[in-house]
Amino acid sequence: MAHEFSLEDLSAFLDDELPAERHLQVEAHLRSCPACSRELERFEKAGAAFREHGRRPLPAGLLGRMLRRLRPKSFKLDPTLEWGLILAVTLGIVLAGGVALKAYMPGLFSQIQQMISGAAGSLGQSN
Amino acid sequence: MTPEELVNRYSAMVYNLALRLTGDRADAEDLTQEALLKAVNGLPGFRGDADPGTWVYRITVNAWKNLLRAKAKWRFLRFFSADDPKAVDSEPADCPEAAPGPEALAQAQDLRRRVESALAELTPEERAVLVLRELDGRSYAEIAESLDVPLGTVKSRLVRARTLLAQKLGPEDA
Repeated sequence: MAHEFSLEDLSAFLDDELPAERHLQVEAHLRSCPACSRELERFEKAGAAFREHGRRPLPAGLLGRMLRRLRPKSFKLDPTLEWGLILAVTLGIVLAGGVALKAYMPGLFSQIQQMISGAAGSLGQSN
Repeated sequence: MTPEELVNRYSAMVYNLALRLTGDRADAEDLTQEALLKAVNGLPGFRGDADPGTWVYRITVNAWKNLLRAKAKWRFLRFFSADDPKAVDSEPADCPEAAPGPEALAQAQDLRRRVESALAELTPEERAVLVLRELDGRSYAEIAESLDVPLGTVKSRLVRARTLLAQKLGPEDA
């Protein structure tokens, strides 16, 4: 029997990729052609073997690494800059406290001044 | 589609495509990450009516072509290289799989060896057609678009891949 269909036709038939009329023609031919039926079966087995043994799982950790790269990074300061900022803010608070003390409680401020000078004076005498 | 959805949905197939294109696990991992991150970056401009799979696979194939060009340039700069593209190992490292019994395991291993042996004789482009058709069930038109080749090329590559696979599987199945 003459094979009027190519291997490409059989392969496309298997994948349901032939135009409807051509599909019917191949189907009819396969009913009467054992050689083409065998070829089609070989293609089917080849595809099945690849589906079963050709697939590889995603390596462990790859999906996680990719998803992590998608997440926006949290804002993180350089440690040196972070400590500098803490020191500057602390100094600022102390200075502002001193200025506020002098402005709103001048009596208390002068008392503290006297205490400090008294303490310094007694230290000087003892030496 | 969010970037996370895209990565979750396509990473396994992109990896399988990358593995069969490069024939090397490490290269396949790099290629998968590169392709998916490119896709994520291009997501805002992606047309919603187009198929995301075809688009992602096309990005993967283009990234692979760039990788080949970069490797060729590197080989040229080194004048010689041990990286012979024909010597690329298409057999990826073994992965653990459940084994029902020694006989079944031996049969499965034999079949797997035959499949890998056939794949090693195919070109990367032929393997890519096989992956997209058999593992992802893509239509010929989608494969042609993903690989940027005519429909006829998809058909002929698939026939060559199937014929070779059938030959390698043949003697013991007959």
